[in-house]
This record gives sequence, structure tokens and C-alpha cells, in this order.
Amino acid sequence: MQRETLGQFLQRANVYEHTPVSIDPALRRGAWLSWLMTSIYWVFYRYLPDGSVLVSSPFFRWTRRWLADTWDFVADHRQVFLTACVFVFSMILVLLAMTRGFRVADIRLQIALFTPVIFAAINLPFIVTLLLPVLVNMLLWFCLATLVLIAGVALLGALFWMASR
Amino acid sequence: MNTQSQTRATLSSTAYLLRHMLVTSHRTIAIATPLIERAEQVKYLAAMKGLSFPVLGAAPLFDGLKLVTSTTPAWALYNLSHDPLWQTGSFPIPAKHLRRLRRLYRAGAEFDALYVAHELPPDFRPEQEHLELSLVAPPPPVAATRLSQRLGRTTDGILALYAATLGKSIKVLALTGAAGLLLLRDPILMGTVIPPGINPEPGVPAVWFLLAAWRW
Repeated sequence: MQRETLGQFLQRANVYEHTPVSIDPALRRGAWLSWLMTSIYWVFYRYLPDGSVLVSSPFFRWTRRWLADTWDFVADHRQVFLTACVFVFSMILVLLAMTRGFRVADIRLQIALFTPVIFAAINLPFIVTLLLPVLVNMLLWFCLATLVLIAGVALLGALFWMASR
Repeated sequence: MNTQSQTRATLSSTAYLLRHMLVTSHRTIAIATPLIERAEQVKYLAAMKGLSFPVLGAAPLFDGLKLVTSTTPAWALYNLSHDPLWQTGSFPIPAKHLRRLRRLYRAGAEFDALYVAHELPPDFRPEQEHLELSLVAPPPPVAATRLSQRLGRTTDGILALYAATLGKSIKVLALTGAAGLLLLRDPILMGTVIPPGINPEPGVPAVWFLLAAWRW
């Protein structure tokens, strides 16, 4: 008679609560997106120039100090940011394999899969903060150019009016 | 009622049901002293760990599928080796029951053969000689399914927040509702001990213990 003892049963028994389930489509989408964003963050942090390079450029005259302070901070901690990106990227790769392409995961892997999503979400406003001085600088140049254009047109108009009298 | 009391209450009521299924379906059998001593040893080892596993009674071992149709619902009892779920290579069991069994095993208790009892659906035909996996397979764990949905909603919420900030609109997927639970059969795990030095064969007298009973 084929039989199983308690010891044999315990070798094959697994925890029911850890049974893999289908990953919610929104979480799957978030995982893929966080993979893409982490790659973009790595490129950004890797090739971000030092603030001192920008400070000497006449283009950034309006937000020079602001830009230098924020970008120097990133440049000083570049390795930390890059290491974090590499760690999260590797984590996503491992989870991709363990979840068969973000399809099924048990409760522990689901929580682990949410971590890159949080990482990507936290980095986005941080990077926006870094780019803000650049955007503000461009906006100020645009305003200045517009004012110069309006002034030029007004001056020309005044000259023509005087000439016609 | 705390978890330990709940477990004891469930085991007591299930033991009552199983005693009727096991003992009334057999003639009275003689129980030798070595078998009684073996059963007492298992009870003692369990008690040492603060565990309690009800004794269902004495009945001979059997092989194959035993149907009990006198109860409502009907039940199927069989050797664990014949369980379709066991034959897939793994057997899911709730964590708290697995912990109890591991503690019992570490205490030194061992059973000679394990048996499983499953509730049967009302339309189960007694002519069927074996159980299909679909009858005994458990549903996906509710906690994991709900967590996945919750994390998905949060992810969509984060995306919606950023999209709204950027001035675009994004449709947040509505929750379709909790996954419907299949009313699946509740498995019961039983362990048997036989007199030492005897090969476990059908017909050998054994003392039956209720090891675990749960709802998916």
C-alpha cells in the first residue's frame, strides 16, 4: 500500500497563503513603467553635468546660483543615485524572472514588486526639481525676448509715426 | 474567540463528524496494547508542545477511495497518496496548521499513513472511482489577490496624480470587485498509527488522529 508519513508530508507541504496569484494589470503596468523610468533616471544621473559647468555659461545667468546648488548636490552624491538605480534595476530583473514576466506572484513578491514603483514615483518630482531652474531660466529668457520684441516694434512704430508727421 | 480556541472548536466538531464516518462504517476491532501505547505516545508528545489532536477512534487502514454518502454533504476519504493535489507535487496547507504539524513532528511524533477527507459536491456521482483535481484544488488565496488589487489601485493613483499634474487626464481603472470565491470542498487531514513492527497494509488496525481541518 502506497502511503505518506507526516515527515514526507511536511517535505512537500507548502504554505497556502504563499500560493502565487495573478498580478493585477495596473501593478504589472507600474512595474514595466518603473523599469523604463529607472533606466531613464540612470542615464540622467550618469550624464548630468556639474553645476560649475553651467554657472560659467551666460545662458544660465538668471538661475545660476539655484542651478549650481541643486546640480552640485546631485553631482556630489552621484554614486549614491547611480547605485540606487542599478540596485532597483537589478531588483526588477530578478522579479521579472521570478514572476514569469510580471504575471504571477505570491504575497511577498507582490510587495517587492511595488518597491520599484515607489522608487520611480519618488525620483520623478526630484528630477523635476533639478530641471526646474533650467525651465525657469528658459522662461525668463523667453519673457525678455518677448519684451525686447515688443519694445522694438513699439520703437519702430513710433519712428514711422514721427516720420509721417 | 481567539485563534487557538477557534482551532480547537473546529477540530472538535470535525472530529465528531469523522468518528461517525470512520467508526460506524466498520465492525468493532480489537486494539492491542502496543497500538494503544503508540497512540498514547503521540498524544503525550503533542501535549508536551501544548498541542491537541483529537483521537477519532480505531479502524483498520484501507486503500482506495471510501465514499460516505449517508451524510450531507457526502464525503470522500482516501489515502493521501491518491489525492490529486498531492500528485501534483505539492500540497498547500494554511500556515497555522503547517506550523502545528511541524511542531508535532519536531516533538518526535510520526504517523504511519496520512489520509484526507473531502466534502463532495451535491452532483458527485458515486460511480466515479477517482477524484478530479478540479474537485479538490484550492482557490487563489484571497489575501494575495486583494493585495494585488490594492497595489494596482495605488499604482494607478500615482500615475493619475502625475498625469493630472502634467495636465493630461488618465483613466484610473475601477476595481472590478473582490474575486469571487469558489465554494470548494474543505479538506481534512488525518494521521494513523499502527502497532510497531507491522507493515502498513489495508486491514491493519490503526488509531486515527485528526491532524488538521480548514476552510479555503
